[in-house]
Amino acid sequence: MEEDQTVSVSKGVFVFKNGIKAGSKKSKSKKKVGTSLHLLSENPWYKSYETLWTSLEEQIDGLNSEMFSSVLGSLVDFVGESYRFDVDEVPTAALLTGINMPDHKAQFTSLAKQLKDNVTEHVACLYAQDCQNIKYLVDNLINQFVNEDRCDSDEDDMEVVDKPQRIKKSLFSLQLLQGWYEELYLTETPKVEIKKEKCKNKKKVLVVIIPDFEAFNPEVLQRFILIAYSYINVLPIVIVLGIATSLSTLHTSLPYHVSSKVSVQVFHSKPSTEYLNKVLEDVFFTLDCPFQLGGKVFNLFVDIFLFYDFSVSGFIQNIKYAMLEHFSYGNAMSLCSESKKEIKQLIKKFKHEDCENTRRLLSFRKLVESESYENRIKLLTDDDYFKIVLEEEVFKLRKYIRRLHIFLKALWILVCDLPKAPLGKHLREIYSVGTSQSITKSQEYKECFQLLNFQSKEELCRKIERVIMNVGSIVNVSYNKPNKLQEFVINLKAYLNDMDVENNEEVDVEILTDVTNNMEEPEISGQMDRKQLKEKLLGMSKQTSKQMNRYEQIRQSLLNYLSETFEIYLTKPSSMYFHEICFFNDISIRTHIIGEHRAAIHSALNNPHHYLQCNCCDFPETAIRSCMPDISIAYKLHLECGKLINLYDWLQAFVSIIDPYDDDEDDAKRIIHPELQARFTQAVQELEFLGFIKSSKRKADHVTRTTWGG
Amino acid sequence: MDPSPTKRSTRQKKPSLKALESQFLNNLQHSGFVAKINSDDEEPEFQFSDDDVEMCEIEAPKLLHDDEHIRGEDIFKFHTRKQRNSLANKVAESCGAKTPNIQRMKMKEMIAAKIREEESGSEYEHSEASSSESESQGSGESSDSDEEPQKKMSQLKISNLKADNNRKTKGTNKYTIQTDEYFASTGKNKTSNNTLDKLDTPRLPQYELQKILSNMKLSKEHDKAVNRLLERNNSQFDKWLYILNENFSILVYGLGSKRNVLQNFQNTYLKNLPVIVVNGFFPTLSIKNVLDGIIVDMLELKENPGNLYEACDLIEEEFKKIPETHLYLIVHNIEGDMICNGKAQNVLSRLAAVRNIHLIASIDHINGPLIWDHSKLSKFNYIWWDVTSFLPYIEETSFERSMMVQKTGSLALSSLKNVFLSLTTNSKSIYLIIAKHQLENAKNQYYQGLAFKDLYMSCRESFIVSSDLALRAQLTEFVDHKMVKLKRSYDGAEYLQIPLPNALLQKFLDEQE
Repeated sequence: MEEDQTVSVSKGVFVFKNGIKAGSKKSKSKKKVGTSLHLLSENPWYKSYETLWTSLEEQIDGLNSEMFSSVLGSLVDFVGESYRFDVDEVPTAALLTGINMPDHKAQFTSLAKQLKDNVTEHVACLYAQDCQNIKYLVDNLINQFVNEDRCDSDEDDMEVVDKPQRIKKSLFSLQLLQGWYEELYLTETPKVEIKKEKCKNKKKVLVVIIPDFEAFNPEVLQRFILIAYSYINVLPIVIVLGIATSLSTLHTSLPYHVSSKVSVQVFHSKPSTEYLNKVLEDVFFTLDCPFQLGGKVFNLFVDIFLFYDFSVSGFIQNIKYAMLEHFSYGNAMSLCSESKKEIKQLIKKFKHEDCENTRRLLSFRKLVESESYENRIKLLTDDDYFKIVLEEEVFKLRKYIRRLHIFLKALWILVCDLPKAPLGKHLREIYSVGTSQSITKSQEYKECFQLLNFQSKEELCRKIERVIMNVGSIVNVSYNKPNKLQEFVINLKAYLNDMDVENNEEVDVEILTDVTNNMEEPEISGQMDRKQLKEKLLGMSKQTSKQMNRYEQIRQSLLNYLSETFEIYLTKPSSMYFHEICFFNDISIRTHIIGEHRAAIHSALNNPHHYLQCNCCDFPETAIRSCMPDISIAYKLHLECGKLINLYDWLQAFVSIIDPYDDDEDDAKRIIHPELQARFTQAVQELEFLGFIKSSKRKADHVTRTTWGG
Repeated sequence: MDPSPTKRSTRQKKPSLKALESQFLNNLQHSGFVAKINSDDEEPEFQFSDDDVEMCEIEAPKLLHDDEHIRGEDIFKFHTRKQRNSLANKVAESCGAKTPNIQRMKMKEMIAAKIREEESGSEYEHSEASSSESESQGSGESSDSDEEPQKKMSQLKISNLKADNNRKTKGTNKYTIQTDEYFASTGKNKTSNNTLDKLDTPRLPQYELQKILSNMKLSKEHDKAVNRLLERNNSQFDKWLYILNENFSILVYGLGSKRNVLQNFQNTYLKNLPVIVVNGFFPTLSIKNVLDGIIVDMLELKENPGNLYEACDLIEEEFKKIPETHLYLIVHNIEGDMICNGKAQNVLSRLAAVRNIHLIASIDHINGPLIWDHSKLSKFNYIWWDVTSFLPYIEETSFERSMMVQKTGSLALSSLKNVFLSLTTNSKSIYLIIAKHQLENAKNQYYQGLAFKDLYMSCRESFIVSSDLALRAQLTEFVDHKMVKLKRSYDGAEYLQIPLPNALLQKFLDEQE
């Protein structure tokens, strides 16, 4: 019965109203439509997710406006200054934004907002989709200028009776705009005649923002620029172009007679990698963010960013999805929350099922195994005891995350500018190593420390100072009582002092070592064969390396100290009990984020067993068996054909696979059972529907393949 | 790179990139195109610094292609030459796989011979077929030897099936060019001249096809497997709802019809919620229909802008006012022919981006995902879901015009009959005159139609119409119902033609008499 509801030969859209009401109709029934959400919102994990995500989102929003404001500041200044002096070309700003289109929207809305706040309230934003020709463009433009200024709530224009001046669309023209503008500003001038000079400046400019320059029809833009130019004396229009590719598109799409009418100033926005780093460092790599991405997933997201789209908003959406997936595990994940108080309360409220849910975490097994026999049973059966342990471990985990971030950052400061940067230049790279393995055991880490061992004093001092500053700031803010972090800072300071003191002694030591070196020099004289010489030289080189000056000694011990400290704190997350609560490392979300549409179809056709898991179709990929699904058989047969496929031959092959005994008949014109023919017909239709073949007119009863290979 | 200083001095000094750029900008400034260059930031920030470039060269995706389920090379292969008999060989191979090798060879020969018999069209082809015979044997042998290791592989595969799910450990056969084979098969790769007319029933009519297919049953094993898949897919619904409510869209892919799955979803979770179902495969669907569905049928608004984007704006505004209401948009085959254009997808993506409109779509065409660009994808914000179901695409393909299906035109005939029944007797006879004339001239390849003048004359003769004008009034009705096409020839005379195949027209006439 339901089947019939959405199948029809006369229409393709089916509406199930189920009590939806338009908002503009005032008959507001209290009944809420769409209550499905409330099923979820009862769960503690969903609440935790919601609070965490909203706080993250706020942080991101704040960061966005902050970031853009610094970039767009000069642009806003430019717009403000553009009509200070008489101009004979339309002032135009070209903002090179980069190809990460989806991010631009935030950027341009923030630009429009800033312009409205600081320079002028007349800002119009024109998107290419609304401006297929010059008429639409002008309509849109004037609509935004004239009507939006008139009333803020112009959306529900039907009901705004007291503001009848909303101008009809058919009347829109630039003359109208001119009249509107003059009415707005020139009529005011007599009142403030005294300050006439100032008043002229007060005439606000009209800003036209075109965020997607490339998407515009160049002809429309050309005409618009010419029109704007002809009104330059009456309407102070400033154009802001958002260019995603490069400046040369501007040159190619505007011919000389147009481009000579505009004076372009170029602005650069920051590359999106920088934007990403900023977002990561300020939002996700903070000490308070409980949700952490595991190394694998993090690498995946970075890869998607770097190799697919350069889109930070996409990156954030991916993280959001990872969070969804993470929290949907169950109530155990509700402990992934920001405040300690919350966690304590949540644990207190844990029901038996929630405890079971937590017990199912893999790392719990490790915890059990590490305990004594009695405790094991207690852990597994006694909920109260389990809660106490859980709370302890979760706080330990939180502490670990704090330390991890602090020391990863310290490590990053030390190694980010080493030659070839074995651990990477960005904090995110170090983070990805640090969360996927014990960073101190990695080859790159050892390499880094070798390189650090060669660092000059100045550089090392500078770095240590930065580390001290960084860690110190956190220490001061968060704790007053002495703890390990403070100890770390104090120790580092001591090393710095040592180096300073050593500064004076150094010269003497060096001379001394030089002398000793010279003393040893003459030993090579005398006759010896090559082998002996080699050994001798080798021995000598070893000897000299043992001779260290004071600075080198200090450096050695400093690095040893650092290395020891790092080894304590930079362990891999999976070494912690209940690390699953804060670290999300399930790489299987990959298919949900990227999608393997083609691969899924490919494997379903080539290897139906992969999906069906039946006993009958488990064969190597190349084999064809009668038991396989029809479409799979037809597909595999079609792989054997060239560009054109003869339907008759294909059908024969199909039939002889499904029903091989037919072969005994000698009759060339074999009788084909209608059922088999129908099955074949359906399979061919489906292949056509999937796009593997299409009908061909080149030969009777032939189809063309659209793919290669096989 | 080059250490010798002498050589370096001889080389013409190239200005650095930066110098080139500043030179270029200076030129621009002089040309009056660029007023003044923003010089307050010393280095254009947008450009990659040298270090970054270096980094880009080194860095390769770490995980992106790591454990892909199917590797790209397996799907997108190069064009390979196919032998003419490879289809038959394949059949033979798979039919006789269990029999000993010698018998298989015999079988192959037998089938090849049979196919040769069937193909004995022209002499030329005959010779070609025989020449390819030896070669087909050769290739048969080689494929046999290939098969054995593969079999071993398959046993291996069974043993560690779990591990195999992620990564194909199966050795990729190295592609080596076999020159002999190449020369043997050069020349045009011909297909045989067989046509479907050789069959007793060359094409099945649509209704019969559907009847047979609806009676068809899968094997027990597969039935179970398909049900299992279905159950697995249905078990995801909770999560879907959760994801949808977080402003993601869901895109389901995988082989097999996904209508069923989406319908189940609708029936179990969206039963009492506002839902719009769009059949993307519907041949006369337009994106305006979808918008109208929302504006007129759902919201019952008075204004309905003609412009697509304005309609979108309106919907966005309306839904902003009712944040508590959630609309679910189910699109079967979002890449369907009628809505795969950029405009329609743009509209859909805008709808999907609205906070309380949730999109669930399915995709089937292998190149379907190519219809979206960055900005659309970011608006859609898809979460992909593999719901391979192995169910037949019955509804989806019912609109397709397949070469294998008989075009009965029963629809056209029945609609013609229905209109005809509502006509007056006079207009019926006028129509019959046109139809008869057309059938009389069925053999005429260049039949233009019945001239208006001639029709008028014959109508007058049989006292059907009295005036030119009355006839015209009748004809307008025919034209309006698309029963007749009016054509004007180059000399200005009007010709009337019925846009139906003659066979169908004959059937119609037979029924009338």
